[in-house]
Amino acid sequence: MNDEFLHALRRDPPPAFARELKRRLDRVHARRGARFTFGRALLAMLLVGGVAMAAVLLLRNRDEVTREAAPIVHAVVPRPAATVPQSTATPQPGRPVTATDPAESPPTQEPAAEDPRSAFAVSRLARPIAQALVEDSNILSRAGSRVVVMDDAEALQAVCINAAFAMVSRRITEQELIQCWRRHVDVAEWMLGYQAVVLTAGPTAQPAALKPREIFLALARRIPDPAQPERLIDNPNMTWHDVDSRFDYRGIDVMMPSDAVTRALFVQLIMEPGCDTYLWLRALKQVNRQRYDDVCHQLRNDERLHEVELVSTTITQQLWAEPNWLVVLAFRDYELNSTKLLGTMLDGPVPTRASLSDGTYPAARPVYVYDQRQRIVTNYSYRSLVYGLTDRYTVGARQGLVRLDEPSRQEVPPSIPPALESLKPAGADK
Amino acid sequence: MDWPAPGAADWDALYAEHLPRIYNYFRFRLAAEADVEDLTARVFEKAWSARSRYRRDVAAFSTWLYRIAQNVGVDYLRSRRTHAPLEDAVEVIADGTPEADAERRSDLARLAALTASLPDRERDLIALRYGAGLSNRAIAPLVGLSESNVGTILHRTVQALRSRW
Repeated sequence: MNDEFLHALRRDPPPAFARELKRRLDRVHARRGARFTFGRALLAMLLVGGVAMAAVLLLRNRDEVTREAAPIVHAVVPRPAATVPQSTATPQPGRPVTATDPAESPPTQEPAAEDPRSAFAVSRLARPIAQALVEDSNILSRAGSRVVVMDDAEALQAVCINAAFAMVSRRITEQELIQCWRRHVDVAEWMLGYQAVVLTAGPTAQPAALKPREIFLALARRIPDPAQPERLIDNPNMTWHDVDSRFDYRGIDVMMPSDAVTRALFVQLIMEPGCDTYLWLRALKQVNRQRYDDVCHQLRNDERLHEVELVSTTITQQLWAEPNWLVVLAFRDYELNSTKLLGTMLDGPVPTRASLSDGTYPAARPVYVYDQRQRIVTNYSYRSLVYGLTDRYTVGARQGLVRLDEPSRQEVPPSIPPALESLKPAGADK
Repeated sequence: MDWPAPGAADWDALYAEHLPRIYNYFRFRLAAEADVEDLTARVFEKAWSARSRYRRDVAAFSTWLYRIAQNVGVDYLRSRRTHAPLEDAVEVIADGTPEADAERRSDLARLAALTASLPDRERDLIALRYGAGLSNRAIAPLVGLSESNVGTILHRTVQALRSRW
């Protein structure tokens, strides 16, 4: 028995059967064609009627929303009687929120002012999660919502004005909350979980405590010239010893999963902090974001960085075969395989849910969602969206979101010292 | 070959190309020759009625058609199992010695007797490779294996069958 013998066992179908089947198929086609013509006419009628109804409903809805939203945005808000204390919050990266009364601010400076109702203000890091949410949500899709990327501070300011939601990578500060209250807007807060990425290696690799700057110098496409740091050169580093003399001559070999989410997390959570250790690059973030991204987000494309498809054998076989290679993993993948991995190669504690929660693991950021509390109370669509957001299984898992336990994801009041409670808008807790 | 634009001529070509392949896929896949025509017809009717839903950007036409054939085959085997467990069939087949069987059965029936004891995946691979005449590359996405894995498993399976022929 061989291939030829097996192929020779084939025979043609009986001609009568072939003819009869063809005739049956042609009949099915003819019937379906007739049904299709009728169906198409019916569909066209329904479409025309549907579009007309949708237009009427949309116009009515827009009027109602405008009436509801206008007092929040444009009302002249009196200054609170109490003196607003200076914020004690820690400085945040990005443009700081000014402490001026919103009534004095020119409207053109308000973020997302072009069509704030449909804007979903998000930080760069949270963008994939928000994008997935908008695409999955019928409510947002119908409303024509779009994701607008902003700094955390801008996003939090936008939600206090009229953005649909804000999804940011840090908690709102006292000062930002007070700014909202000055607009007679109280915000509700949810913590969805964390975004985290891990740089690790196989169990037999030599442990290392790499700093973000060293990882940046090892993996960026262009790095500052050691002799003249304000000048960029193509990355010449081939071994970890080239990066820093405290390392041995081990070659720089890092496996990077081909999925865009993990790559984006790595770039923003590890490469950016490394890049920011150069002051002139850090300053670039404020004045020329495009150029900053070009320098700090571009990974080298030579043989030192190995783009891999993450499959079951990546960890068990490829890392076993190349014990000195490092691998970048989304936290979820790391957590599933942590027993077969060395741990983190980043300087700092081992990534665990505990070290994510207490903020000690450096390559992790929380994901917070904010919205106007009154809108959630009065608007069914927003309330439905909140339920969708906090649903453990529907949003974010594929975008690298590490969900927390159920109680942690409930709505929590922003933490405000009791002395500031008097500034809270009346009825805000309802 | 991809799904053509709607038109009788293209459908004729596809039908002519794939009818013998699907027909022989079922001949190799099932021991019961009597049901082969019925199952072949079922595959084409399903494909034809779902023609408007076929998306060429998702899969090639052949992949789509053989996926339907696989599902039809699985449904058939499942329904048959409720009447007579597959294990029983193997026992019935194993009653006679291979030499005695060889005198009574045609080559295909004898092959079916031998493949009855194989795992389902191997039987499907044999049917796709030698019945439908697909290449290892075309088979790979249908069974969720790599092209080289398909080749390796087929090689081992044919060797095992040869040793028992």
